[in-house]
Amino acid sequence: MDPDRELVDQARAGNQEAFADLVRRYQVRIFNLARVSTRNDADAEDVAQEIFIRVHRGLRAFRGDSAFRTWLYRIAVNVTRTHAGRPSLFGWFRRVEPEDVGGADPLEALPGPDAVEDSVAYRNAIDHALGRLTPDLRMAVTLRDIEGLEYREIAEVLNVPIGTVMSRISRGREKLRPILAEALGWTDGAGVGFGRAE
Amino acid sequence: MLTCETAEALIAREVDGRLGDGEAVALDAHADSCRACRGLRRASLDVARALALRINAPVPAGFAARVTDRVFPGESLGWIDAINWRRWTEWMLPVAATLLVVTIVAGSGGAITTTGSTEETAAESTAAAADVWALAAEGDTATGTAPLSADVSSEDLLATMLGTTASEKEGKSDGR
Repeated sequence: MDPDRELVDQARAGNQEAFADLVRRYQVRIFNLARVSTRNDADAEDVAQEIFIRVHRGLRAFRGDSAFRTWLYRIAVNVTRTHAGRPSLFGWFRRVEPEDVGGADPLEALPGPDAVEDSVAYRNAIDHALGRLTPDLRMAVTLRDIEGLEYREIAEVLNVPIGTVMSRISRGREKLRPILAEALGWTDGAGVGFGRAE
Repeated sequence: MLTCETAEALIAREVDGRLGDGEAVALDAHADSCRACRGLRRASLDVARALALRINAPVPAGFAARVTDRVFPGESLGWIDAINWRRWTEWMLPVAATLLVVTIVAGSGGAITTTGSTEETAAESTAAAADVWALAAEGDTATGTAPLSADVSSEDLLATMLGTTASEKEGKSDGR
């Protein structure tokens, strides 16, 4: 049974509060999915808003063949792909670059491992590292390791066989490891965290 | 002996904490003899753990309200957008650009019409243009077509297009 079914039905019937509840239920996940792709909060909000607007537009056509969450992620992936690499209108005017960092290589400008102690810097390091992957690998790894979706659900969201999902996640993690090791100051043999073995 | 393909699937299960004891032994044996799978295993475990430590970014305050405001326009609280500076800047930028263009055009219009009288302002040019139409309405010689039928210089023609001829200037001066 889809846990969102009741709210979805109410939202489809025009209940605005039910739709607002759906937004509140998934806003953290969707905003962070968008943030991984855009790597800044302002663009992430634009993308996340666009995702929910498309969800609302598509609600009437949603038949419930898949779980609402799966359908929502499918829309999110499509919108995120569309926005990838496309500068937003007037984005230059209001974008706050780094947290986002200057220079050709964002990771090179990250604080050293000793200085990186808070969750914001860690999140930025992770998001910039993910940004170095190809879109297919980045999305597969993000859906699994950040969003926590099951392989089967990722396959449904991305509309690819489950074997392809596993392969993309494996390759993505393999490519990410040296990037994260450099960004987070992992010593050889000691992954995870800021230069600390756990 | 495992194949690398099977080992890859087992590594994924190991990352998820779902590897059985027998599977762990088989994976260990394979990884001992396969450098590629050993590297993949290490990368998978390290990266999955590192990404699991990422704390989600907080959603900007009022996000849900802004979404519902866009989805149901006019039915929710508009003031939430009114305090959204990002939306302000998006809307104000084209308005500012338009005003800038209008100012530049008006400014250059004033410069052309003065030709030797640089102190004349754009406001005076506008007043001169109004005089042209006032004279045209009286059916006098200063209709919109009269200058074209007369023997006029290109400078006068340009001045006429911009709304100020020498005669109107005189008329305007008389009026002042």
